[in-house]
Parts: sequence; C-alpha cells; structure tokens
Amino acid sequence: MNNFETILIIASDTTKDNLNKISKSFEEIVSTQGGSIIGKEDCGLRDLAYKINNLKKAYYFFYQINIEGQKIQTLKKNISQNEKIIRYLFIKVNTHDELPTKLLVGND
Amino acid sequence: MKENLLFETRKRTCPLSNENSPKVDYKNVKLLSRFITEKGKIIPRRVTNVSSKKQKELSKAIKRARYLGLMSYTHKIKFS
Repeated sequence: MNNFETILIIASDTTKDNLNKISKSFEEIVSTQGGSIIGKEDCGLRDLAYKINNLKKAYYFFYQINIEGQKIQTLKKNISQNEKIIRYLFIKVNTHDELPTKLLVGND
Repeated sequence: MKENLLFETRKRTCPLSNENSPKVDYKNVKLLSRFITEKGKIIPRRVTNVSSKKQKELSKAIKRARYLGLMSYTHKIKFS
C-alpha cells in the first residue's frame, strides 16, 4: 500500500448534483479497489491559467489516498470515461501533508 | 594569492535547501512563480543559485503545475 495524491479537474459547466456524483463515485471506486481516502479537499471554482477545452474556469478536487499501486490503472480507466473530468493527476508521495493545501491558501 | 577587494566574493547559498525554506510543491504556485521568467520559462540554476537536487524537484513541480492549469506555459501570472 502506498500514499498517493490525486487532483481531479472538472469542467465548470457541470451542475452541483453532478459534482457530488463525480466525487462520490470516485470515493466508491477507491474503496472497492481496496484503498482508503485519508484526506479530501474541495478547492472550488478556480481560474485556469490557459483555456482547456475552451473553458476558462474549472472545479478542483484534491484527494489523499492510500492504495495499492497497481490499482491506479483501473482508477484512471474509470475516470477517463467521464467526459466532465477534463484532467487528472496521480502522484506518489512518501507522507501526506497536512490540510489545507497551498491550493486553497495561495491563490488570492 | 591576494584577495580581490574590488569584487566581493560572498558565497551564495541555495534558497531552497535551508532548514526553514519552504517545501517544493506543485500546488504552491506562489513559490514556483519566483523561479520562472516573464515568458514562463524556467530560470537556469546558475542564475537563481538553486542546488542541483532542488532544481530537479523544481522543474518537475513547475511542469506538473502547468499541466494542471495552475501555471501558464507562456507567461507569468502575477499575484496582487
């Protein structure tokens, strides 16, 4: 089992119900793959530095998870099927940092 | 050898290797934007004096931040 950081970027034209659905389904997939969610942060609607799919803003979700490394591929497969998630990133870390992250604090 | 008094030879140290220096992280855009030019390029370490180990971390973090749309590829985003 290893520690991973995950960032999901979701298109700004999704409804609130859909947002909740996406975050819930991600948490479910992680738990069905034998992992656990240690920390979660909703960074809200943020400006993008450049246009992605002709969008200027997007929702950011940050997760700290603990999961077997090989299961990341199934997570990626599942995420890429959702069109509303425009980008995602998995990063292996040794130890999880304390929340809140600099994403929430830094950009004002 | 004589010491050159015209040009002061002060040793500059890495700004990121200090004990109190902040951790290099792709989410900390404010820190990362100190190490790019106005055009968004990564500044070479002979200018900023960052150690080789930290420069590797830095370039990786900047590239991650660019991919996530936190930083621009082509210009610097200024913080007020």
